[in-house]
Amino acid sequence: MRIRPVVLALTLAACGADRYAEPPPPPAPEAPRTPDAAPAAPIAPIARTAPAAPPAWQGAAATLSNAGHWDVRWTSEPAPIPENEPFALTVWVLDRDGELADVDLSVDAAMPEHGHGMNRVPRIVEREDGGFQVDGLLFHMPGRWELYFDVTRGALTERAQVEVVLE
Amino acid sequence: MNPLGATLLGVGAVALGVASAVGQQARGAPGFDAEQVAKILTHSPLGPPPADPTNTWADDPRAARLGQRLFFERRFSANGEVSCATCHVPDRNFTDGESIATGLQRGERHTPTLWNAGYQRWYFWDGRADSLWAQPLQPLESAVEMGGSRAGIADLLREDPRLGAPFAELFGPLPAPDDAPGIDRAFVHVGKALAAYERRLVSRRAPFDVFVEGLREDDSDKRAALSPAAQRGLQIFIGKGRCRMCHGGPNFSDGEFHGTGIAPLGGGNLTDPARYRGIQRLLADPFNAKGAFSDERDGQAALALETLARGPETWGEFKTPTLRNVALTAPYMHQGQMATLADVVRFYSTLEGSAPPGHHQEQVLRPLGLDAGEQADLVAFLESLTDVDVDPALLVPPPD
Repeated sequence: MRIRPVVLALTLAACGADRYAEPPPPPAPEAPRTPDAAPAAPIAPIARTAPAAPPAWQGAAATLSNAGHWDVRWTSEPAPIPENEPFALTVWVLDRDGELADVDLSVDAAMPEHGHGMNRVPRIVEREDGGFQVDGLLFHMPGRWELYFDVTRGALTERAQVEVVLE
Repeated sequence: MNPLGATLLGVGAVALGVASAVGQQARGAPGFDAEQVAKILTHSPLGPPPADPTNTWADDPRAARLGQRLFFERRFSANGEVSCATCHVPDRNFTDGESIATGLQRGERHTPTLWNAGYQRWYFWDGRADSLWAQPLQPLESAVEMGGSRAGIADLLREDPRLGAPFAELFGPLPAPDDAPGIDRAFVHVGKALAAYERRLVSRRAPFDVFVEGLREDDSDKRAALSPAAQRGLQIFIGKGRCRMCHGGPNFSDGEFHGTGIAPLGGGNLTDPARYRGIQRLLADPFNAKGAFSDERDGQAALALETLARGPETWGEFKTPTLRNVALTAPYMHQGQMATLADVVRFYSTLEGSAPPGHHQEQVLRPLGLDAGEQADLVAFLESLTDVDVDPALLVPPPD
């Protein structure tokens, strides 16, 4: 990779208007081969072709919000969601372009047939990777639960929801 | 479940189904399909009590032995006559057989059994304590129950070497009479020793558990541990009876709170705020899992405390009791309103006399409409949850 800028300089010189007027300038001295040396500018395009690190939400469940504006990705710990044992969620909210969205999040759940929700109000904190850590959830009864992700940006809140059946 | 287990269960379910086809007409044992078997398996086996990291001594045998002595100690009470065992009578399955508990005075609620107390998430009918060690601290100083004081308890520990010596060996030097923080700590240590004892009161191999082993192992001899009536009752329990909605898991309790709408003992409107007030008291309790006396102030118990929801729906909700040994712990409900299991099953079958839930309250209960035979079968199943095979030495004060 370090040879490439030298070859490029020679080629450009050969295409000059008067190829006999002046000898081509000597090649620039090669940069010292030290591990700490900053990469030369032309290297950057090559680096872009290296595989990018997978996003933190890779492999997470995907739930589209009810009006389609947000793509909520989430995982549970433990997985699958247990009956009557505390669990936690990690949640990322993506926009239509698949980019992490700058939004607020609240999480709740309910058993529609029972007319009640959780006996907990989960604790939500933002993660360094742009997601949310949701702790303190508990589905204390078997049956059909609905898990709600309420995504807020500005004055608008939109819900994403997923059904969880525990037997 | 592993594939082999699934196969065996499938065979068992089919075999039981054949028996059912023949037996149903003669009211024999029912069959259980794969979905029913899966539900049944969630109720057994019951493992050992979950760890309690808020109590360093929870599983220390020396603490359990000391706690057993403290459990029978009457001198902690104001009149020298009331101990934990006065209401939680070991020979009566750690209940008193009365509708309402009476210590120094008559209380307001029924004495719950201590069987499997170590599996609970919350304590008291209203969940106003969140650990097995914090629970006994309240009756020790309640004017209605024992009427003692932490200072008086510390005095007795200093005066009686049978108590004080093992106490000091476990928890360090006894506090001086003017050492208020030390007396608080000693008081907490009394609770932690009592909890270590109570964690040993475990019931987990009833005929029902043998039956479930028979399902897992495809062993007809073990399946015979449940009578045909009890098996029919089990089918109701996991099906139309909707019992497992609240009495879920291997301890037959979700450990949480629900409204039954059952009238108070004397009749009339509901008067007890129950969980609504219980949460208030729990959050204010200096002995809760986030408090200075907890041995793990940032664990799951503390998180549960931090995230508790206290809405209007919690008004009048009581904790779901375990059903293990339930046939031996009459009367039933939070004020002993029901004399027998048959009464309880009849109540849930009709909900007669029950206050309907309001708009803010859960809508779980509805009349089950069980006929007399189904009610009897359900009682037979509940009776199959009996196992009192515990070391008899745990039922009396330990020898000196």
